[in-house]
Amino acid sequence: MTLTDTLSTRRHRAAGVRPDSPFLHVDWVLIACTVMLSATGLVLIRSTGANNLRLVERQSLFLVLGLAALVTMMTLDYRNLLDNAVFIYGGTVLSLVLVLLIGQEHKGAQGWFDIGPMQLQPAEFAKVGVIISLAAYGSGQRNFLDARRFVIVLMLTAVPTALIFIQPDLGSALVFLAIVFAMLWIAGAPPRLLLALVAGGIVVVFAAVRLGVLAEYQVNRLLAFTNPGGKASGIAFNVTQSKIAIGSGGLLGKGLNQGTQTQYGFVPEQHSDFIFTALGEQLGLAGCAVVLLVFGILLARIWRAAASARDTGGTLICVGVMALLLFHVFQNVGMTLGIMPITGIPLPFLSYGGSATLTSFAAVGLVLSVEMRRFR
Amino acid sequence: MDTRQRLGTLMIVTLCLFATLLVRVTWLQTVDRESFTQQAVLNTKSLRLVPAQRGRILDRAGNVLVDNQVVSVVMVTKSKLPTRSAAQAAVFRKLQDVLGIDAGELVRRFNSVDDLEGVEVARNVTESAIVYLGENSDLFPGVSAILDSQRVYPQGSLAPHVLGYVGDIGDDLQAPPCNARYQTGDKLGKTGIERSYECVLRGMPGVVEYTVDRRNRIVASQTRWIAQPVPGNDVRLTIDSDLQKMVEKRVKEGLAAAREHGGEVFVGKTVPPTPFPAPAGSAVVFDSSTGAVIAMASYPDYDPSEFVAGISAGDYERRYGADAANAPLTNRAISGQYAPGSTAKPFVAVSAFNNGLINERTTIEDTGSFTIENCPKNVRCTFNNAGNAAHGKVDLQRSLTVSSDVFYYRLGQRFWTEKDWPRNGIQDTYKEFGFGGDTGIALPNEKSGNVPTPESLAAGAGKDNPDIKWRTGDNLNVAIGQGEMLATPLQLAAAYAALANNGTLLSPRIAFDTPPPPIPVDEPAAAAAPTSSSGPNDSSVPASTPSTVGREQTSSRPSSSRPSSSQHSSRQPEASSSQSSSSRPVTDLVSGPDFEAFGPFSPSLGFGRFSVDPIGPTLPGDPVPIEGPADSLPSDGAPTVIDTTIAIPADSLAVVPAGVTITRRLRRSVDLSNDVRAPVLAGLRGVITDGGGTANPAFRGFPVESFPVAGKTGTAQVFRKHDTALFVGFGGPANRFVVCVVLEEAGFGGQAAAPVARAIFEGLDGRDDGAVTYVTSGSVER
Repeated sequence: MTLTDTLSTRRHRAAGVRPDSPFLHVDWVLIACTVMLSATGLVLIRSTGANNLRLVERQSLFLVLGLAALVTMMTLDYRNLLDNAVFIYGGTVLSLVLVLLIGQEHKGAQGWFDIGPMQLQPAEFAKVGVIISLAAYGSGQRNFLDARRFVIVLMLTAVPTALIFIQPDLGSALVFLAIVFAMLWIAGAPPRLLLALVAGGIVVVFAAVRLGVLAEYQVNRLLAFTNPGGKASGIAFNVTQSKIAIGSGGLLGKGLNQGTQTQYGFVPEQHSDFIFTALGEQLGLAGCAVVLLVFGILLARIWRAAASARDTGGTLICVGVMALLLFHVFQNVGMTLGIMPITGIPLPFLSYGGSATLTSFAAVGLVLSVEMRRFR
Repeated sequence: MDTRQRLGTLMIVTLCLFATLLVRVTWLQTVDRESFTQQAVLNTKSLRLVPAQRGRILDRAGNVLVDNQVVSVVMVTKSKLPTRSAAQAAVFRKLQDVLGIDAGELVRRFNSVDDLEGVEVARNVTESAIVYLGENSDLFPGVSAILDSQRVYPQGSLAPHVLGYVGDIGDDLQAPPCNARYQTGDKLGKTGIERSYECVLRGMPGVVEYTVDRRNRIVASQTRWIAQPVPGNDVRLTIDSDLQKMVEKRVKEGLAAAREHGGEVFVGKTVPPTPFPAPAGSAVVFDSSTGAVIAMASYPDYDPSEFVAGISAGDYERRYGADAANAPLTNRAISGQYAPGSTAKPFVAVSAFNNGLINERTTIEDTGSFTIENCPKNVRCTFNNAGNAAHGKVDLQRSLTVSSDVFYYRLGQRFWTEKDWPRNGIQDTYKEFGFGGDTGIALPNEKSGNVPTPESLAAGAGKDNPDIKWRTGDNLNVAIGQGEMLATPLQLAAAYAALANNGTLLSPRIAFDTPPPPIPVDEPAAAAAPTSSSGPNDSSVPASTPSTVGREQTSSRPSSSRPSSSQHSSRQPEASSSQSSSSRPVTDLVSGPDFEAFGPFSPSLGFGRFSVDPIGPTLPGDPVPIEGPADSLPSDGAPTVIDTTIAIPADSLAVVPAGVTITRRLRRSVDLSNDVRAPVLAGLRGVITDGGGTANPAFRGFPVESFPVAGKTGTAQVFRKHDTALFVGFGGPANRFVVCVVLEEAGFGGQAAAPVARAIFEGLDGRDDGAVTYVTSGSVER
């Protein structure tokens, strides 16, 4: 409990507000982090080309919608969500089944609903849905997480993961593994079971490459990472260009709209998946460090929310969101730095994209909902 | 482990992952930054050379032989063409109407080159067409008109073999001349002076830096000049245009005259006479005092203007290729190798005299035939004079005048069979007079001829043919300049010049001294000047050569002299002082921040990426030909060439302005005492003046009193061909002018070649006694 909390509590008590009122305990730092990252993202999207104004406009709209989602999620009591997890889980699975049946295919994956000008990607929303569902199951398990329950958790995760996997969208599927891993760990799963989970994940990835479940470009991305000079060298070229962009940025960068790698299109998907290269080239190590620092603060605040949550369900929600964002950040930034394979998942808050932006904000809203209700 | 501990672990993992990212990004942006920055520059920056105005080629008097002319060129740029093929075809169809060139041909030209900036589809376009294209530019997307500079020949096809021509760089890109920067699509001298003085004529190309995006499209606003072009220097030839014109005409006349006659083809047995084909010939006029080549003609010739707009590979092959009749591109004066025949005899006489075989009074009885002593039965043992003529009692002087083969057969046998003389004595003297080695003239493709020796025969035969041995007969052939002995007309002229000027063997000069090649101008001015580079039309920068790079920029040429890289640099007094100042701009250009990143040459990219590195601090300074004379001198222990800048003598030739100098290039002083020189020259004079002289009929009526002439005819037998007719001689004040005439398959030297030489001497004497006539009177002599 911080000094500020105490002071404001006193002030509000004087105003006749109950000291445990959730809206007295909103984590403004967390919200500030999301706003700062989003604003940076807008500037960077603008810098990736001369004709990006339309993207900036759309992303601005996504950010407004995202903030609305955040407010909505924090207003809702997470315990109500946990109580209705069955419906959330069912809706999540249903949307993933529907997208396989009637969705649109983009970049080789059957993963989008085209609704007018918007394209919704249910796999993104499913991340939040699964976090709530697993937290709901976990909150009921006060005791030691035994093998049977472990398997049930895995099954709960496996259904949406598999549905996403066969779109195919390997990157998003791996996010689910990270989420369930972290949540199981916090829920008290024995380490050997978790190790088995990791081993299983590796087997699944290998099998996917071997059995041809993945789209060819996804396989090539993995091959390019393991063998940069091989037949997928076109993708290795992308990684090289990404590293050139970031490396040539130096300490302070080349200045906004001055990056030759960014401006002249040498890096693919700069406004979305490779937004971090635009940051590295144009704002340099200083910009990268600041952004990573803000992400660090963001994750630390979520961790704090997890630690201070009133119940296990709240903790698990926060841990799930933390794992979600951590995996996204590490995987995405690591990809641009050439230390992770390309899997095509966005950098939260910075990358252009509607569904991902909405999901990230909703996830943070969920954490806020948990944290602000830690006293009642 | 309770939840708190597990949360702690989660935090630690998070911190570790973030630390990984931070370390990695810091590593990339600090330690690896340099290399990534270079790669980023390489990605986008692209340098392109903008050719400088090429220097002109002048004759001795300063008349322009090769000039530049600005013409309009229509270019088509792929990235600006409509993308739909139907729309593209429409553009070419409309172009066909404007330019009068078939649309299919335009498309073929457009597709023949892959250049992002635009491909030339038409040259020399009329002004009205250019105006029309400009006014209707919306109808011609991707079509642009630029000005370009091209070669023009005010004197027509005068001396094409000397001048050479300019062509697409092609394979020369792999090993460019003078180690300079070139790029795909550049033009450079392919032959002749254009080639050997490429580095002088070319100047210093400007450098434009382009920025391209991922799809290799030029970002116009980022285009800038790195260095302005520096125009090339003019080259003033020693050729006298009037004389050259006359010599070319005389050679042509002499060949035409020979074709009306005929003779026997040498096939080892007697066959009926056939007409002389006389397809080709050449003549050289050489100044024995300075080493200057005053005229150099080769027939058949060609029109260098045919190469201006480029000549298709098919046309080139058909007209000038290996199978083309008589190889019109070949400069026979330096690339034609002929058995010198009797024109070699003076050198054999000098050799015999210097080695002590004979003195000026030694005589032999010439019965018309010579039989080898102790001759084995299975080889040819008896050799006859031409026409089996018996010359009676013959001494050194007489042997030259009447061209006695028997006299020289005997010398050839004695050198080979008698133990008292060096066996290769004749060959050694030949080599001393420059045979068997390049003369070192600043023209490409010079041939060195051949002086056969027992050693060269054995080497040529190889170990598998030990039976092939040098026999007396071979030495007899050497003694009369036949067999494997080969010389170029220029070699003969230079050797006779040494007879004429008391034994000074000079390396022929074809041009007066030129200023050193330009070097980049002062670097801050050039590098910082963003002159006219930010225009919206990106193609304006490389295309505007003639308009922005006029000759008026000559003033920016640095006045400091550039140190010569050649060994013979005795005329570079200021070399050491100018070295530092003149090489600095080059160094700075190389080490400029934008250039460090440029990697090795990549000619595969049509878009002219190139390395700056090849510009070393040692550009060849002196107008050293590509096959430099210093390198190509015979390796027979010749002393180093000694250069002396000498005054140009006042003479009957065109006046050379003050300040123009020529460097007399001494190859060596040959061993030529007056004791032998006097009878040799007397014998050569007798060739002209004596009633029995082999060229006497041809020079009948020539005023030798006022314009003394001495010379020697030669008739070289060529297997399965008619004889090569030769005449080499000298005349004029102080034996100033050496004339060498070689006519292929034209019969006897005294009949076909001597009349041509006579006409040339007349021209040198300022007279014109009419067309060359073939000599039918007089004896047949070699």
